[in-house]
Amino acid sequence: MSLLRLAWRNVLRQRRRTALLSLVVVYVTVAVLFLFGFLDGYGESLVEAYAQYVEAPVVVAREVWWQDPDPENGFRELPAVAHPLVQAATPRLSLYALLRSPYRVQGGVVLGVDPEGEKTLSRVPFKVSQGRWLSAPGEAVLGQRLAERLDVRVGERLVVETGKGALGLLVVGLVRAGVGNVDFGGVYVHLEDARRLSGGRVLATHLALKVPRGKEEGVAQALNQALPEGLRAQGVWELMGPIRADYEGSRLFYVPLLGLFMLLAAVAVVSTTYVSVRERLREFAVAESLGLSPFRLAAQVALEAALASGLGLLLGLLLGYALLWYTSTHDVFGPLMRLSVELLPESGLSEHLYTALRPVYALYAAMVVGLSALLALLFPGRLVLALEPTRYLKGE
Amino acid sequence: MLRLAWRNLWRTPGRSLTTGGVVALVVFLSLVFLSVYAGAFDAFFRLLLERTGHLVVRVEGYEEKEDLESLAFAPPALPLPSGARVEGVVEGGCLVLAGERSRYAVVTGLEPAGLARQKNLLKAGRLPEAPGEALLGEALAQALRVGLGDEVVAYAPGGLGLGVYAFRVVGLLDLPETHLEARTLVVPLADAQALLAPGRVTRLEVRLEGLGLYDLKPLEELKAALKPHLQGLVAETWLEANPIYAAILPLYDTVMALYVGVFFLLGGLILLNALYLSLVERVREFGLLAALGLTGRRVMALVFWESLLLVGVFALVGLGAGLLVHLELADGFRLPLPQWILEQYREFGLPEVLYGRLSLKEILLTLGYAVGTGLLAALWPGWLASRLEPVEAMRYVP
Repeated sequence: MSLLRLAWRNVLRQRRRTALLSLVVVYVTVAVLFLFGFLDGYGESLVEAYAQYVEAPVVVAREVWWQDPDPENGFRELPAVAHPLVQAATPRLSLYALLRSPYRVQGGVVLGVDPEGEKTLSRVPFKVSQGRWLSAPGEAVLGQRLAERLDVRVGERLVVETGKGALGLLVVGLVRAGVGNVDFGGVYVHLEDARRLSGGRVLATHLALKVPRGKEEGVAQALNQALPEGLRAQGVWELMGPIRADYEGSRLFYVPLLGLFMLLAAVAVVSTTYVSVRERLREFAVAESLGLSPFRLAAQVALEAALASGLGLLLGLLLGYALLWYTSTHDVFGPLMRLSVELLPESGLSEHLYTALRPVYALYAAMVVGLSALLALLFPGRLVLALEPTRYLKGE
Repeated sequence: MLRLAWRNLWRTPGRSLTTGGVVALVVFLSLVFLSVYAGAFDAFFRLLLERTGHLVVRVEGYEEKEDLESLAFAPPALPLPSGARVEGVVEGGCLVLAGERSRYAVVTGLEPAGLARQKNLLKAGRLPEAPGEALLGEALAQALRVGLGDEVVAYAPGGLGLGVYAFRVVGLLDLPETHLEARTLVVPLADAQALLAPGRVTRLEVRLEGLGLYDLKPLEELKAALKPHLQGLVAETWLEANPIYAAILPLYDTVMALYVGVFFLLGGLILLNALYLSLVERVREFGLLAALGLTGRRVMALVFWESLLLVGVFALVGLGAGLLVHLELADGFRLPLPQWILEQYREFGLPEVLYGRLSLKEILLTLGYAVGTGLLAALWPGWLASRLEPVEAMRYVP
C-alpha cells in the first residue's frame, strides 16, 4: 500500500508531464473504444439485417438445396424441427422469376411465405410503408425501390413468370425496411402462389427458425446433430453473403493497428517515466540505502507508469464511452450507410449503423496500462536495478 | 541555431531515436496505406471503365424512361478522332429457360470487338462466331444445369423484337462478381437486336486509346464535340454514367486525409511529449541562454528547429522506406488476408491482385502532415521555453 501511495505521489509531482502523457493514452483509449464499438456495431447491423429481414436467425434446408438453391431441391414434406430454443418456425419457398409490370421487366428472387407465420420471425411484415402485408393468395408485396424500378404501385398488377407458370398478382403493399436486399429486391408472395409458380411439387425450399439473439450458431450446430440425414441447418453468420468478408477483413486489419497504437502509447509513457527516473536516481539511491530492495524500487517505477497511464485510461474511458453512447443512440453513420446501400444494394447492408457499447472494451483499452508497466519495468526499471547507491550518494 | 538544435537532439539519442522512429513509422504507414487504398480504388474504377467504355451515349433522360421502346435508338454516325472506336450494345432483361429450369438474366448484345473483349473472362469454350451462339456466366450455367453445346431459350416478352430466341452455349464466363455471373448472357449484337429491338441499340460505348484512368479532360472535350451530332441522345463520361461511384470520388481525398490524420495525431502527441521532456531536462540551460542574451523568440525558434529537424530527418527515413515498399506494391500485391476473404472481396469487384499507386499529391499530403505535426507539437514547449525567467530557470530543481 505504501508503495502505491509513494508511486501516486511521484506521479502527481510532475502534473504537467503526467497530463501530457495521459493525453496520449486518452487518445489511444478513445480510438480503441470507438473502433471496437464501430466494428461490433457493424457486425450487429449485419446480423440484424440478415436475421430479421434478409434471411432468418437459423435456416434448415436439404443439403442439396444449399448447393443448388433451385425449387426442385426443396421439401416435398416439411421436416419437424425440435429444439428448446426454437421460438417459431415458418416455411418459405424461394424461386427465380421474371417480374413484369406494364412498362418494365426485371428479374428477381420471389419469396413465398406464410403471411401469419412470417410475422412471428421477420420484421418485413411490419415495415410495410404503403398498403398492407399479404393476407391471401393472389397478392404480392414489393420492396419500395424495386416497385419504383418496375414502375408499379399499390393496387396495380404484376406478372410473375417462371419457366413453369405465370401469375398475375395484385400489389397490396410496398416495404421500406432500410435494408438493401429487401428494398431493392424484395418480392413476397403467398406460399400457395409460390408453390404454383414452382410447379407444385415442393411445399417449401427451406424452413426459417426464430431463435434468441446470439444463439443462432449454437442452435444450428445442435440441430445438425439431430436432423435427419440430407438436411442441414445454418446459422445467420453462415447465411450472410460476401459482406461478411468485409466485416471479418476489417477486424483483421484494424485490430493489429490498434495493438500498434497501444504499443506506441506505452512507449510514450515509458519515455516520460525514463526521464522521471533519471531525474530521481539520487532519491532512489537513498531509498535503496535505507533498505528498500532494488526490485521494490523497480516495481515502484512500473507502478508509476501504470498509474500515469491509468489516469489517461480513466479519462479516455469516460470520453470514449460518451462517444460510443452518442453514436449508439444517434444515426451518425446514416448518410454513409445509405450511400453504401445504393452502391451495394444486394449486400444486405442496413441504412443505419449504431455503434455497440460493451464493457469489455474497457478491458481491451486497459492493456495499454499493463503494457506501460511492463515496458517501464524493462527500461527505466533497469536503471534502478543497475543503480550503485554509494556512487549516487557521493554525488558522482 | 540549426547546428545547436541538431546537437541538442543527439544529447538524448535514445529519446530522439524513439520519437523519430515513431515519426518514421507514421510516415511509412501512411504511405503504404495510401498506396494500398489508391490501388484498390483504381482496380474498382478500372473495372467500371472496362465495362462502360470512356464515353457512353444513351437516350436523353434515360434515367426516367422505363420501357425498352423509349430506351432503344438507331445508332447515329459519330465523328470520332483517330484511335477512338464506337460499339453498339443492346441490353435487356429476360428469362433464360433450359429444360425444367429457368433463371432471370440480363442479355447483352455485343459487336465483334465487344465479344473479343470477353476473351479474358472466358473460363471454357470459345467466343460466339455465328448467329445463335451465346456466352453464359458460369454460375448461370450451373443454375440452369447446362454446359457447352447445350441449348437455352431467352424469353423477353413485351419488347420490340421476337421476344423468344434460342441460343447454343459456346462459352462460359468467369466474372469477378458471382451475382453478376449468375445473370449474364452475352450474345452477338444482331441476335440481341432480333430478340429485343431490331436495328437499335440501348447504348453506344466510345473507347479511346492511351488515356489514363482519371484523365477526364479529353473525355469532356470529345463529349462537347459529339453533342451537335446527338439528336435526342446524351453522351456521358464513364464516371457520369455511374453517378453513385462518381459521388464517392470526391469523398476519397477527404477520407484518406482523415485516416492519415489519425496516425499523425498520435505521432504528434508523442512528439509533443518528447519535446516537453527535452525542455524540462534543459530548463537551467535555457535559463542560462536567456541570461546570456538569447531573446524569447530565438529560444522559441530553437525548440521549433529541434522539432522540425527531428521530424524532417525521420520523415525522410519513413518516406524512403514507404517508397521502397510502394515500389513493391506497384508491381502487384495481394492483401494479407485469408484466401476466403479475398475471394469474397472479388464479389465487390475487387481483384485479388492489386497495384499500389502513389502520386505526388499523396506524398505531399504525408509530408505536409509531418511538417504540420512538427510545428504544432513545438508550439507549446516553445512558448514555455520562451517565457522562462533566467534567474528562476537557473535555480530550477526538477
